[in-house]
Amino acid sequence: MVTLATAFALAWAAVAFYAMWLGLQQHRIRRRLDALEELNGEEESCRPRSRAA
Amino acid sequence: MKRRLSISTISILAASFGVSALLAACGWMIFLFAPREITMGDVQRIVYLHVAVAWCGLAGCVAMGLTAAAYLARRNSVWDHWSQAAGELGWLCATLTLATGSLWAHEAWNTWWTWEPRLTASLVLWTVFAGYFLVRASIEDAQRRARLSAVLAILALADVPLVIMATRWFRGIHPVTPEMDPRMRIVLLISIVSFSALFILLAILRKEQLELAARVLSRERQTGVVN
Repeated sequence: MVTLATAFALAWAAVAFYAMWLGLQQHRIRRRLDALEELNGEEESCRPRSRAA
Repeated sequence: MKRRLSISTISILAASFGVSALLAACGWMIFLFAPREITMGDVQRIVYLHVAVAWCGLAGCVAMGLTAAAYLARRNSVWDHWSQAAGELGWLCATLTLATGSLWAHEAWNTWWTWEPRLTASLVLWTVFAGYFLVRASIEDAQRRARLSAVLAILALADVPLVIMATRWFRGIHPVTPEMDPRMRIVLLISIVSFSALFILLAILRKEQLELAARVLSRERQTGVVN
C-alpha cells in the first residue's frame, strides 16, 4: 500500500510541480510585458513635450 | 502588443475543468472500480498509472520529432515551440515511467532496477530527452537552437520502436501484454485517455506561453531593452 501511495503521490507531485513552474514562467513573462508597456508609455508621454520644445 | 493568449481564458478553464473531471473519474476507477489482482494485490494498480505515463512519454517523443521535422521543412518557429512543449511533457512522463516502473519492479521482481531490454531502452529515451534540453539550454541563437534541437528530436524518434518492441525483439522479463480482467482493461483505457488529455492541455498551454515569451523577447530587442 505504501508503494502504491508513493507512486501516485510522485505522479501528482510531478504534474503539480510542472503546473506551478508554468505559472511562474507566465508571471515572469507578464512582468516583462508590463515593463515594456511602461517603457512605451513613457516614450509616448515624452513625444509631445519634445515637439513643443 | 497582444496581451491575451490567442486561446480564450474561457476555453482553457472549460478544458481544465473537463480534464480534472476525467482525472477524478480515473482515480475513482483505479482505486474503487478495478478489481484487486490476486498475485500482486493492490500494488498492481500502479500499472494503470505506469502504462498511461509511458504512453504519454512515447507520444511526447513522437510529437517532438514530428513537429521538429515540420520546423525543418517550414522554418516556422511555431513548430519549434510545439516541439519544445511536447519534449518537456514527454520528459516529465518518461521520468514518471522510470519512477513508477521501478516501484512496481521492487514489488514484482524484488529489485529497483535491472538491465532488461525495455527498461534500458526507456532509460535511453530519458537520456535523449535530457540531451535535447541540454542542447536547447546551451545555444543562445534562437534559429540555431531550433535547427540543432530539431535534428536531435528527429534522431530521438529511432528509440520509440525500440522501446515498444523491446519485449518482442529481445528476451526480457518485462510483461508484454498480460491477460486482464475486462474491467481492468476499461480502467487502463480510461487512464490512458485521461493522462493524454492532461498532456495535450499542458502542451497547448506551454506552446502558447512559449509564443508569448518569443513575442516579448522580440519586442524587447526592438526597444533595445536586451541585445
